[in-house]
Amino acid sequence: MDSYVYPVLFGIFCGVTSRMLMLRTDYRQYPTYLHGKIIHIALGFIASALGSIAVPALIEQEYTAITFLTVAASQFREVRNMERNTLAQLDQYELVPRGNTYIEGIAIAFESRNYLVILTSMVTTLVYVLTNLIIGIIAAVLCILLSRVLMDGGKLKDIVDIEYVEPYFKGEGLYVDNIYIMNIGLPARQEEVLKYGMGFILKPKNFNARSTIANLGQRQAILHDITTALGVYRDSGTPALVPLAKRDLDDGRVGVFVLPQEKDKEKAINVIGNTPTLENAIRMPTKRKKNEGGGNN
Amino acid sequence: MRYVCQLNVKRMRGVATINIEKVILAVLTTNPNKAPSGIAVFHCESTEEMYKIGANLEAILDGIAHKLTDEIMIIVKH
Repeated sequence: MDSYVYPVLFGIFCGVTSRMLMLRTDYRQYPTYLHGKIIHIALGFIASALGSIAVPALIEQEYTAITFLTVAASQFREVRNMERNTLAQLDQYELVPRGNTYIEGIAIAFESRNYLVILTSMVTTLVYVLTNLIIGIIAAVLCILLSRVLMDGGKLKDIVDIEYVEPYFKGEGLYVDNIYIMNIGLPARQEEVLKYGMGFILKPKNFNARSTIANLGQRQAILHDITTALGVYRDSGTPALVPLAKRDLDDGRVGVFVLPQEKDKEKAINVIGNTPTLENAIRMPTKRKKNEGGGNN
Repeated sequence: MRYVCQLNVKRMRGVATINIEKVILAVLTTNPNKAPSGIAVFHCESTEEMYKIGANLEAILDGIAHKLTDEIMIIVKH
């Protein structure tokens, strides 16, 4: 077994490196602090150790070692629950909450990243054992690149065209383009809304996109991301100052109304465009039509 | 006047908390003939007074002031 020490150590190193590279404080704004990061690096270490050790065990025909991986699977399902619970608790105190769909998306991402770590450490250990260190390093780089590709989801700018529109009042009704947003009764509040408010129209590029942006979770994610990037003119006790996204029932366009502290049109369009398309919000009605004639499966 | 009341009961550390959503908390009117019953109604002398009381109630009750007609405003908890 001594001959496996370096491959296993190398596999663990590559797995942890891969986890650290995937652990960016990015648009999700989480985890932001050291303690949150330590938890995920520690779990990444466990994942990479399991992945690395499985390889020599299998080579030595210790097939029961595969049960290790089932332990890992249940462990990482727990990670998903942990993330979900933490974010759901924190969400109650956000001025503009993330919403459950976004939280579930983040929780899934955290679980799946651990599986990518197992894959990385397993492949690199296997390649090192079968060949040598140099080819092992090449395999590790390829695995890390693959992890990055698998980790990146779609962006909203791929499925919608974004356009800035000045919000306006018709009577007491607030509108963005021709989309009704809400009724604001007090003139003082209306003035604030016009002063700080910004409106955007998201025009779906195809029929699938129309269903995706209709999802309430996806719309809440857009509002949360803009708030995170540009701030929000809002506080507890001012419920009328609320960012909202409403849908035009005729053509599926979505009118987004936000109250950013930094009123920068270009930046806001950029932020909306970079909002992730949530896995749980994606709908593909056109795929169904294509597969309908395929008979019974 | 019909209003919708949704009760969300959450259990946190053994204590039940109740959130009331989508309910009319108060009505402001300058026309007493059109005021509904069974709910807190504020009779106002003028539209300006209605706006002034509405702004205070909005902050106190954490609800949004919506204007239905020129004579009636409602404070709704969303």
